[in-house]
Amino acid sequence: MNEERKKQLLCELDKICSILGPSGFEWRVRDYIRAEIEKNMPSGAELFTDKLGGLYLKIKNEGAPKLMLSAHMDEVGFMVTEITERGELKFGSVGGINPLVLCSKRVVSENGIKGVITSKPIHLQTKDERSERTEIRKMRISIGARSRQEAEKYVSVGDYFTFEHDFRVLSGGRIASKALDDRHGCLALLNAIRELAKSGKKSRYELYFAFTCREEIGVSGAWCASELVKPDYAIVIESKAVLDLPSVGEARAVGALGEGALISYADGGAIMDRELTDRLVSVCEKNKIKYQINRAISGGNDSSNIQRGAHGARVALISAPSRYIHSSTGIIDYKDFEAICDAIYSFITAKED
Amino acid sequence: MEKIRELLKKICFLPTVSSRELDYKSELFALAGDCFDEMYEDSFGDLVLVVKSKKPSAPRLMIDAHFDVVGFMVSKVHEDGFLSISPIGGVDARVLGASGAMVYGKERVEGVFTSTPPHLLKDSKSLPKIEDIYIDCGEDASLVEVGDIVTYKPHFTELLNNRVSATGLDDKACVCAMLDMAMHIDKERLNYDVYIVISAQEETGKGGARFIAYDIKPDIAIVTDAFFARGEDIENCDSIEMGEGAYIDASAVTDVFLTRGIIKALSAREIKLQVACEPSRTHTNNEAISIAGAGVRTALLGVAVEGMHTPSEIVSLEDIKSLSGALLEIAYGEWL
Amino acid sequence: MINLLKRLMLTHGVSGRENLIREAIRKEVEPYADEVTIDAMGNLIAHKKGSGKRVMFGAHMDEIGYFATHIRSNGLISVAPIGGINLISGAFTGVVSENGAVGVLGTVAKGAPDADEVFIDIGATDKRQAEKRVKVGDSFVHTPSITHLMGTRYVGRPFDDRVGCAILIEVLKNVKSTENDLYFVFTVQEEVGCRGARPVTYSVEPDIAIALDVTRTDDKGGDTLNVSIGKGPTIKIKDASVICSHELVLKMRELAREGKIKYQDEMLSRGGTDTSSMQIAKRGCRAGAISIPCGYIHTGIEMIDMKDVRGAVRLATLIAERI
Repeated sequence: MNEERKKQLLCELDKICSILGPSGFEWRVRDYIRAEIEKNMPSGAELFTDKLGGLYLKIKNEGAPKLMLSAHMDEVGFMVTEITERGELKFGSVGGINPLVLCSKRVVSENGIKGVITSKPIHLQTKDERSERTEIRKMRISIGARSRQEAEKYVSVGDYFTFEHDFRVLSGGRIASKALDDRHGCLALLNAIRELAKSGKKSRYELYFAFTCREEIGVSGAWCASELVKPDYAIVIESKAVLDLPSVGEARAVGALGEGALISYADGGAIMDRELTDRLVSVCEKNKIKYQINRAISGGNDSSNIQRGAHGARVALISAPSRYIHSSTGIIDYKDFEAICDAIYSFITAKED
Repeated sequence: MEKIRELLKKICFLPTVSSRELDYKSELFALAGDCFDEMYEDSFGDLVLVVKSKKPSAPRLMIDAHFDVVGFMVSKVHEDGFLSISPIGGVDARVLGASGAMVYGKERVEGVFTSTPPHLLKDSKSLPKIEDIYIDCGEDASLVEVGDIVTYKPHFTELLNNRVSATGLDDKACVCAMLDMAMHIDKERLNYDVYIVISAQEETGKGGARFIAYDIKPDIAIVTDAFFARGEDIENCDSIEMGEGAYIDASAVTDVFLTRGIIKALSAREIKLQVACEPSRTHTNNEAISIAGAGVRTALLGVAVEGMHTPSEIVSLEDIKSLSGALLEIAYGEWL
Repeated sequence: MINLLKRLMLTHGVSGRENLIREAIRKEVEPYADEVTIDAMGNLIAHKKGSGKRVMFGAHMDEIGYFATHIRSNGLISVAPIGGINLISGAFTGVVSENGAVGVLGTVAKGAPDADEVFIDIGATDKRQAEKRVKVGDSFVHTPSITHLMGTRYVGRPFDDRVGCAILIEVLKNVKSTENDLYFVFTVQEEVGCRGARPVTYSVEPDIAIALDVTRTDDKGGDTLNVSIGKGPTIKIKDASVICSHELVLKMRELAREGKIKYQDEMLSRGGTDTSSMQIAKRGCRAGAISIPCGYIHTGIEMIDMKDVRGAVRLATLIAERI
C-alpha cells in the first residue's frame, strides 16, 4: 500500500467530510470541489453547473460515447422547525435518519452554533418510555440559550444542522466520520480527475464527472444530471450499508468491510446494465483490484433516476461497504475506498474491454 | 470562569468508570494542587483531601461528590473487531447507536457503538437491548481484554452562556466545584476541618462515600450531586433551571434544620440557592452517608445537568461557580 | 476430596435452615482451625491465626429449596420456593424434607409453572396423615445426588455451593506456614440475597475477602459469556451484584500465573454472590471471588469438572499463603 497516498487521501477525506452540506444546502461542498478541480484541470476540460446546484466537469472527446461518473454531495441533516419559549430547538430530519442514532449526539448549525440533541433522561422516564424509542418530534436541540429571544439571535426556523464533525481512523485503517455517504464518492471522483490531469491519459469515452444534489431526499438531483448530460453510460459511486454486524448475522449481511469495492448487479432502485457491470468487474480482475458482489437487492440511490432519466442510460453501481450510514459516525474501510478509486481510474483509462 | 473551565475539562477526561476510580488517583491529586493538609485513599476507592482549620479540635465537615461515571466493561472480545459489553450504572440504550466509544485496553482504542438498521430489528417500537449492541473497534481488537473499561468518547464542547457539554458531568461538575471551593479557602475563617471526599461507586449503588463517612465520623456532611435541568418534556417539580445557580434539596432524608439553616443564612448573604424537592428519596450518596456509623446530619446541594447519563451532558459553568461559593460559605458558617 | 464433597452435598441445608450442614462442616474444620465460632445469624467462622494481613475466604452453606407454607385438607403441601429455583427442571422430581420426609414436587401447570402453582405430595391421604411427617415451616430440597460422568465431570446437586465449602475445607487443611491471619467463613442465606455475608464480614473486618461460589457457563448456547466448564476456576471481574476490587483481581491473576494455575476471566451481567455483601460491610474491604464453572445451575443436575475444583483449591491456597 502506498502510505504517502493513503495519508493524503485520508487528510482530504477528513476535509471533505467536515463541510456542512445537507440536502438543499450543498453549495459549500460544491465550492470546495470546484476549487480543488480548478487547481488541476485536465486538458480539454470544462466546468458547469445545473439549476439545483450540481457541478459537472466535462472532458471533451468528440464522437466518443458519453460516460458519466457520479457521486452526490449532500448528506443527511436537520432543519429547525420551531424555537420554543425556553430557547430550545425542535427539528425535523432532512433525509432518512433512524431516530435511534440521534439522542445525545452533538450537532452544529450552518452558522457554526453548536448544540446537543437531548431527550428526557433515563431517570425520569416512565416504565413504558424506558423500553420505547423516542420519536424525533420529542427530541430537541439544546444550544445553551436561556430563552426564545436569545436563541433567535443565533438560529432561525429553517436553519440547517448536521452532525458534528469528528473524523477518526480506527484499527486496520477503518474510517469513522459523518457524511462519508457520499463524500468518499466525491473524493474518488476528484482523485480520478487529478490523476487524469497528472498522467495526461486519454479516455475512450467523453467523460462527465457529476457531483449531484438532493440524493438523500428522493434522488432528485440525478434527474437534472441525466437531462443535462444525456449519458450513454453511467457509473454511480455510492455507500452501501453491508450489515456485517453481530446483531444481524452472516445470513442477512450484504457484504463485508475490507473485502473490496462492492459492485451491484441490482439494488432496490435499479437492475444495473449487465454488460457495463461485467466490464467493471473485468477491469477489477485485470488490475487485481479487490471487489465483492452485493448479496442483496435492496436500497436505492442516484442510479435509478440516471437509468430512467432523459433517453435512459446504461448504469453500473460501485459502492463503499459501510456501517451505520446516516448517523454521526459511519464507518468505511480505507482499503475499499482505495479499491474504488483504482477501479474508477482503471475503468476510464482502459484501452479495450 | 476560565479556571473552572480548565479544571472541569481535565476532570471530565479522566475515565473513572465505577470501580476504577483509583486508577486516576495521582491525576486527581495533582489537579487538587497543594492547598490540602492531607490526601489519602481507602480500600474501596474513595479519595480524601483534608483542609485543617486553625482552630484546635475543630468539628469535622465532610463534603462529598462522586468521582465515578457510568460506562461499560468488555465482556467478550470477538475475532472480527467487535466487543460485547456489560453496562455499569444506569445506561440508556437510546443514546448508544453510532455514538463514539473509547476502550481502555493495553492502549486506548477508539470504537463506535453499533447501530442496527431499524428495518432489521424484530420489533419496530421498542429500543434495542444493550446485549444486542456491540462496540465496533475497526478491523481488530487485539489490544482489548475481557474486563477492560469502556466510556463514551470524551469531548468538551462549548455552548452559549458559559455552558459546556461533556461526558461524566454527573458528578464531575460537583467534583470541580469542591476543588474550586477548596482552592479559595481562607483557613482563618474556617470553622471546621474540611474533608473533601471524591467517592467511588455511586452509580453502582454501592455508595463508597459511606465507608469514608464511617471512618471520618463527620459532624455534618454536605453531599453534592447533579440534578435534572428543566426542559420541554420535564416537569418543573422534577427539575431546576440551568444558569440560575446551585440548588439545595428539600427532602425527608436530609437534615431539615441544617438544610433550612443553610437556605436562610446564605440568602441573608445574598447567595441565591434554588430549592429542589425530592420528598422521600434523593438517589444520591446522601442516603448512604446519612446512615453511616451512628448516623450523619446531611444536606444535599448541587447543580443542574441536562441529558444525565448520556455522552453529551450539559452544565453551566456559572452554576458550578455558584456551588463553589455556597460550599465556601457553609465551611465558614456555624451549623452545630 | 470427592468423598468430602459427597458428604457435604448429601447434608440438608436450605437458606435459614443451615443447622445440619453447619454441624457437618464444623466437624470437618475443627481439627484444623485454631478457633471455630458461630455468629448470631448462624455463620460458621473458622480462624487460623496469624499476625499478618487479615484474609477472609467465604463460601455459602445454604442451598435453594422450599418451605412448607400450608397443609391442605387432601394432604398435599403448599410450598414457597426459597431462592431462585428453576421450576421447569424442578417439577415432577423427588424432594426430601429436613426430617427425611420423601415426596414429589407436583404441579397442575401446563407449561413452566409459576411459584404458586407447585405443591409437594408426600403420599399422605389427608391433612392429618401429612401432619405426622411435615409441619408448616419445614424445609424441602430436591433430592441430593452426585454421579460421575465421563473423565473428571460430575452431575448432581447441590454443587452450589457445597463445592465452595469443600474447597475452603481443603484450603484450611493444606495451608502451610503463613503470616496471614486467615478466616474461613461458611455463610448462611446467600440464596435469598447474600444476607449472611455482611454481618460476618463486619465482625471479621478483613483486609481482603474472597468468596468461592459456582458461576454460569456459556457451553450451552448464548455467546456473551466467557466461561466454560473444565477450563479452570474463574477469577471474577464483575457480575450484576458487584464489581470486584481491580487491585485484587490483578493480584489474584499474578498469583495464578506464578503458580501455573489455569484460570478464566469471569464477566457476568446477571447473577450475584456473597462478594457484594463482603465489599460493603463496615468500612468496606477489597473483595473478590473465585468461581467454579457450573452447568445447569439451580436445577437438579448441576454439572462441574473436578479439574476446576482442584485448580480452585490450589489458587485459594496460594492466595491464603502469599497475598
